[in-house]
Amino acid sequence: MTRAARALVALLLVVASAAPGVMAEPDEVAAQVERVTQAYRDGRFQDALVSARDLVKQFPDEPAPRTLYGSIAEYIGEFDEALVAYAQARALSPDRAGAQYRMGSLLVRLGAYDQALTHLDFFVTSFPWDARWKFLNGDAEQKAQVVKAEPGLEAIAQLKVDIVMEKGDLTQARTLAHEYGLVAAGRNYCTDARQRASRRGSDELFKAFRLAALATPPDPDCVWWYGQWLTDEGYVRLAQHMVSEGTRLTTSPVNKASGERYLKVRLMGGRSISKRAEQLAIIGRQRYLRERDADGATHLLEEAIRLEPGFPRPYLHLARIAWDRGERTSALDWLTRAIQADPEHWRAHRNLAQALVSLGRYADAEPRLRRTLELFGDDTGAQLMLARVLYSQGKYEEYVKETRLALQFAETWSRQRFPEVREFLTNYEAAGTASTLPPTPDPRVLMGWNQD
Amino acid sequence: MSFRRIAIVACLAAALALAATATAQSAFESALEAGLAAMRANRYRDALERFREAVAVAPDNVAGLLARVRAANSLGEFEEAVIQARAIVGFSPAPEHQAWLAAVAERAGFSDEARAAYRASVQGEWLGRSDIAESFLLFLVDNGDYPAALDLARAEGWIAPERDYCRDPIPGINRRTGMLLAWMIHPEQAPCLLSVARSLTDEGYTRLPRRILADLTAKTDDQKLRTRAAAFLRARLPQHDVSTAAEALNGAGYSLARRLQYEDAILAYQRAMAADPRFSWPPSNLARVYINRKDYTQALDWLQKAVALNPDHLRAVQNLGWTLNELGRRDEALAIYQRALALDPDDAWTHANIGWALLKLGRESEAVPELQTSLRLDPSQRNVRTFLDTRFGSDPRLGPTPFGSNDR
Repeated sequence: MTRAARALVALLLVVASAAPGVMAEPDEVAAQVERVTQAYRDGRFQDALVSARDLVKQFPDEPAPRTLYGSIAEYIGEFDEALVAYAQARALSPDRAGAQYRMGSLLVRLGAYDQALTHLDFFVTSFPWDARWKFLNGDAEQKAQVVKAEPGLEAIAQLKVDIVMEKGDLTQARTLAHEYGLVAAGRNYCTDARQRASRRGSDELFKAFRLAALATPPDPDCVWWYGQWLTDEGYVRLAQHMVSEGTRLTTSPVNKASGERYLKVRLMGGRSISKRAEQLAIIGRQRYLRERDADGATHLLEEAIRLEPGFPRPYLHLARIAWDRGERTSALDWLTRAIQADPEHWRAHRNLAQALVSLGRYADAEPRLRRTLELFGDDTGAQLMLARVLYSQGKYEEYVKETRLALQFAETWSRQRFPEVREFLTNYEAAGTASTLPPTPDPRVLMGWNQD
Repeated sequence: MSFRRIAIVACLAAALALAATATAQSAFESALEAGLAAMRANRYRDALERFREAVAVAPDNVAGLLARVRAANSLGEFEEAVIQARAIVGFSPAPEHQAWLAAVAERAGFSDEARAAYRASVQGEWLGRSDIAESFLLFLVDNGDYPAALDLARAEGWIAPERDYCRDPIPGINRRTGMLLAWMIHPEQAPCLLSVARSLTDEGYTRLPRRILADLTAKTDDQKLRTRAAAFLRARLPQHDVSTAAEALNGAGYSLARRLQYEDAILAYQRAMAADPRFSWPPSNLARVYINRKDYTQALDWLQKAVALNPDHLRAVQNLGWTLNELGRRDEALAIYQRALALDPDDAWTHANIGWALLKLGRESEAVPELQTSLRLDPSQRNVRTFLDTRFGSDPRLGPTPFGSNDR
């Protein structure tokens, strides 16, 4: 569990046990909240949601069950339910910090950044006056000191920095990060991030590149890498800001062109989308990936499409769900719709091509694969798929050409050598066509080109 | 002989007698202490030997006899336990002693004696009486004596008009006891019976859950519940009525194995197999002892015997898959796991183990959906969740921005 989640659980329990002047015994409410919280911690989300709803009915005058209900609803993507629950909790107990914090968090998910900042400032008032004063009015040294000492305030500081970044004000975000002591002056975070990138897990990688993006002066490459990491994770809005910033900062014309192309083929050309749709797509994907909750995920992804029909990711996730269910036609339909939503989305073309290749529809797949490679020429997996498609249609010269290009690229840029591909090509050149088709390994591409 | 000489001899004799008593007392106490220390360390065989010594020195000492009852009971030496319990009741027919006699006589299969002892135990007022009344009810129900069970429930004040025994807890008693009454009072409206049967099965009962589920499938109107009950009956319970002795010995073996007393557990399972050679649980549980010892060859042998006795025994089939996997026979393991899935498609453990086996075969794209399904069926599996977190990164649902979700 993360620090933030631990803080939330602790906070909710404090809120429950300290509620004065209520009808139920505080201990009873706290015990019930703890029981439901435990279900939530254990990952029994639907059980937890149902139990939290029951708790709200059982203790209608208590803010804690409503806050808990809201936070579970928020976690599973039921934002409207969460909004109502937090609002009711705040109405019951306007001075309680827990509901303020949760409301702030939800407002970020909904893209209401300024309102979110107001709620977070209110949350700060729940800290002792000296900590609060230093955090809000102190000099940079005092702010840094209090942020280091109080994990709750550090969480607020980090969230505020993220919010300001999402608003697109990267200069202000860097100033805040410096003031709160989250980054130190004179330290080269980018070198640090690059040096250890290959040995790190996703969380560590994220933290290293985030700090590099917040450092002053910013390093364009690291800002860009952070944008690519965010793209993979689905944080489209923040990724757009980061990739644009990296592209703006770079002095290399080649890198500038790469950044512009990335923005075009991975991030809808920088076209802004609703924050709510982005969050629904992230949560829907997770509900499917982690809990195999196809129905819950579908419901959220369809809502994301309704809010933002031009956002291709929900279509891609729905295609995946349909494909796993064996509903091939439906999967192809979702992929086609993803391309309609964003005709220059590299992944949409690639996924459709891959589906067509899996179905043996090689002639249909060929133009999709060519378009995929037009959008992102370094896609070795797509190039090998194209080679197979060409071979299957008797276009042997082109098969040889594409295979050689893929192998050459891999030799230069990748650790993967594809011996099976090489062996098939050698045999073809020595003995002519075989009864089987060329192998199509699908290597993992660079960070920033995955997970959709 | 002068009076003085007689007096001296008498004094010497008295001193000798006193010394002999003190020696006996000391021998008893040291044997009892040694036995109790062994019990605390779960070394029941050693404890039983010490308690036998203690009882030999002081055959009328209730503490020694009671300790011997407990040790013998833990080892599945039920007849010895009954003999000692009878002796205790002979000296001191207190209700708590009757309760001990009832419990061990029940396991030894002496039903009439158990019934009389239970009845005597609940007639007195004492601290553990309520628990024994519930055990008595369970005993009566297990023995099919429903009128006596209802009489007991009535006498205990557990019966109330219009009560839904599945839904409404009865103050002061265990939920399951209340739910057992649902079976006797409104069996056609008792959806809780599946969980009652599941709980009894998990505790090692076989005949009673079989009867409950057979009745449930015959009487419920709920098609889904009927299907689940029938599936549980088939996959988790024996296909015949197991003898009391075999059931009790298997229970003793299970309990010993959980306390890492593997040699005594093996002995208990072997006696259970002798008592009922058709019962597939003892060989399956015996295999688990070998699995815990990482002796997969022996485990495989016993699991194959268990599955031969009952091809629908889900736990045995699952453990067979596990053992084959541990022996590196992964394709065979996967085939066996498929048999387990056919027996219970919603078993999270089976899905998880298919996932792990596929991962070891390098078939990650097939493994991940199995692990996901497993987690959906049982979200509390931390190892599966951790794997998926590693595979997919931190759960971004935890916070509204990347930092909130990745700050571990």
